[in-house]
Amino acid sequence: MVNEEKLRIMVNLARYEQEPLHTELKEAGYYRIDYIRSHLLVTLWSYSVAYVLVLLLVALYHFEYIFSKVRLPDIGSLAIGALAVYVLILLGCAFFTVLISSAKYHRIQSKRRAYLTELKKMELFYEQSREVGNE
Amino acid sequence: MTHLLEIRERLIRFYQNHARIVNAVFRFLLSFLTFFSINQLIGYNPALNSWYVVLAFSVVNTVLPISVLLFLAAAYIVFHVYYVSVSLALVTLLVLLTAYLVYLRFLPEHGYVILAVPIMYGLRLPYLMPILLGLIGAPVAVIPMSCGVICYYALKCITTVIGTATEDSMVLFNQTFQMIFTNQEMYLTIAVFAIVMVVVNMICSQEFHYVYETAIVVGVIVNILLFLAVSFPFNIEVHVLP
Repeated sequence: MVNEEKLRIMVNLARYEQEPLHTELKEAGYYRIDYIRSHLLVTLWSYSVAYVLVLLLVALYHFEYIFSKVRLPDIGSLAIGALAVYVLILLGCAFFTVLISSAKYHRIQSKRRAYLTELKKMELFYEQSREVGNE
Repeated sequence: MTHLLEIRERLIRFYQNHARIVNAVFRFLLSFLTFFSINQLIGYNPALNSWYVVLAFSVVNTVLPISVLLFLAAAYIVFHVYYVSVSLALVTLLVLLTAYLVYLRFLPEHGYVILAVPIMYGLRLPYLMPILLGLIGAPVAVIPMSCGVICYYALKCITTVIGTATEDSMVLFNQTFQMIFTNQEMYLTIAVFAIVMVVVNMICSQEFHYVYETAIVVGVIVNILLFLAVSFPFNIEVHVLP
């Protein structure tokens, strides 16, 4: 005779152990600060490289103007301007990354709690069946 | 009606029994359509334009993860452009790399939507895209759909510039970017597709009989009306069939 409640718990556990929930459960093992920090590093690195590529594209687009009209003192002010924009973009990215990572961490922690609750219920079933077997 | 339900059950059982084969066939067809559409849009390289190369790539992609398809499609585009212009190929590579670092690295699943839009244009079915996404997706899919439209029009601008170019230089890059940024048809298409997608999605979230059929009909009507209403007063030339 199949126990429906036990079957329901097993199906739920199988669902948690498949992608993408399986990856999220693994990530839930990190401390909050480490989780946010790892995402922050990835974001900052990606956006830094992307900024350099975009600067290169802009420089290529204004290639003729830069080589014909821009002088050495102008390059200094252009570099300061580019650096200021870079810092602003990085600050914005960092802010949104921290916000989104915190919300995602909170969500995966609640999923982890639900998974652990189902595991405990399953353990209780096994203990009960062991006691019945011993009797 | 029961006959349809029986067919549905048989299909589900068939997929459950032969999931690996069906997934492999699906990946093969998707890869084939992708490379075929890219060849239709921007098929300059005769080596990549041949049938056996497309088939070979599709067969290889059958055994690889589906995320590799995005990388191969981008490489395919760059190699096609490289055949006619080295500078334009370098710029295309930089743009694709930037798009990956800024967007696709964090939301890789959106890459499939971005890839699907040029494929639909290649199959002459672009107007199906916003309706399909409205039926099955979330409103956030407007962003990758708009990126896909930009991608298609960027490829179209590249082909136009290459078609009229007399030499390979950075002037081609300037011309291409100017053409992309001043393309009114692209902006109109993005706006209309976004509105149609949101309207279809809003209707689908309601609960009444024949909700999907209603959403499709309303989506089609809104699509036609918006294109007519905006293109005529502003004198924007819209190519109905790409």
